[in-house]
Amino acid sequence: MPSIDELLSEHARRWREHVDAHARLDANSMTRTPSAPTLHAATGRRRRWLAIVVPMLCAGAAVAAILVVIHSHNEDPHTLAAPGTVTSASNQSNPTSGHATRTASDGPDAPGPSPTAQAWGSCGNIRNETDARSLVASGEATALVEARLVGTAVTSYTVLAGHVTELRTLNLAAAPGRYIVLLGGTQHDYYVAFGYYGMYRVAGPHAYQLCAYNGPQVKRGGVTDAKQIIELLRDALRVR
Amino acid sequence: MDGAGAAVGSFPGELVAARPVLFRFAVTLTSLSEADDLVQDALTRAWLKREQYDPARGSVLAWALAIVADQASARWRRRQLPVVHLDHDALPVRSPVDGTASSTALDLSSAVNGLPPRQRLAIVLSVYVDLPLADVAAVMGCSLGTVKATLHHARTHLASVLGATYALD
Repeated sequence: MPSIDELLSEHARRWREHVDAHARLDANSMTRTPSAPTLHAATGRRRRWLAIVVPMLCAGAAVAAILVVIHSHNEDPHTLAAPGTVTSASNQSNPTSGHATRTASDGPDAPGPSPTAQAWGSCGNIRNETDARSLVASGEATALVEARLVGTAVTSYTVLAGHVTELRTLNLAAAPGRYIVLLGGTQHDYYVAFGYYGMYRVAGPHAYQLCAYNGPQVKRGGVTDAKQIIELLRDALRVR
Repeated sequence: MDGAGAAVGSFPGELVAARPVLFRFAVTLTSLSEADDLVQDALTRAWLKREQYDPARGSVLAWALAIVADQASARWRRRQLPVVHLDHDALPVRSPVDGTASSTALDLSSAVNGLPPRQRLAIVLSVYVDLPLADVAAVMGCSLGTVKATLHHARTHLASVLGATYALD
C-alpha cells in the first residue's frame, strides 16, 4: 500500500506537470491560452480588453501607433536599417527631442500630434510621453520608439529617444488606436528583460498596460497585446 | 554589465531561472489564469529592489518567493501567511478494497487543503512547488527545524485523514 509520501509525491508530480506545461504555453504562445481549471474558487478578473478591442478591430483599419520602449546597448549612433525608403539615417541620443524617422516608401505616414495627457490616459506610472522619456533619461529604459501602423503593417518607426541598433518592418496585428508598451528594464539587461514578463513593467505595476489613444482606455487586458508585440519585436530588435 | 544576456549565476540570471518555480508558487496563491500577472508584479518589484537583496540572508529564489507572497497579500489585503490551495487533479489511486483505480486526487487535494494553514503551506512549498527546505524556511520565516516539524505534523495529519480509506502505512 502506498505511503502518504508516495501519494503526495505522485500527486505533486502530476500537479507540477500540469502547472509547468501551462506556464510554458503561456510564455511562448502569441495569444493567451485558455485557462485551465483554476486552482481555487478565485473570483477572477475577466480581461476587459476583449469588450473594447474587438469592437475597435471591427471598426476598420486606421492608423495606429505603438510607442515602444526598448533596450539598446549600443552607445554609438547607428543607422536604422529597414526596407523601404530611408528618409533619415540619424539616430540621436536625446531623451527630450531627438529622433530619427524612417518611412516605408509605400506606406502613408499618418500625421498626428503628440498625445495629450488626456489622450494617453492612465497607464500606471506612465502618464504621458514625458514620463516615458524620463525613463529613458534615467536609464531605466534605453529607447522610446514609436511604430506607426496602417492596418497590420508597420509603415514607419520613429526613435523618439535613446538608441536602437536596428529595426525592421514588422507586421503586427493591432487594433486601431495608440498603445503604450514598455518593454525594457534596464539598459544593461535587454535579454533578461525579454526573458520574462515582469520586466515589461518597469515603471510600475501597470507600466505595460495598454492605453488606447484614439479610443477608450484599455485596462490590463493589454497583457495579451503587449506580449504579442513584444514577441514580435524581440526578434526584430537587436542590441549589443 | 555587457548586455549580453542573463548570465548563469548572475542576479538577473537567477531571477530568470526562478521564474518556473515562482509560477508554481503563484498558482497556489491565486489561479492558473492569475499567476502570470502575480509573477510579473513580483519580478518587477524584485528587479526594482534588487539593491536590497542580501545574499547572506538567503537565495535569490527564496527572496523572490517572499516577494511573490507579499504581492499576493497586497492584492488581497491579507496580513498573514500565504493561503495556498490545490486544485482537484486527477490522480488514480488503487482502492484497497478491489484494487481498481479511482479518482482519489480529489480526496488528496481536499486533505491537503484541509490542513491547518502553516502545515498546508509547508507541504505545498516543499512537495508541490518542490523547494529545498532551506527556501521553505525562508519563505515561512522560521527555522529549518520548525519546517521539518511542521512537515511531520502535516504528514501525520494527512495519514490520519486518508489512512482509513487508502490503508496508508
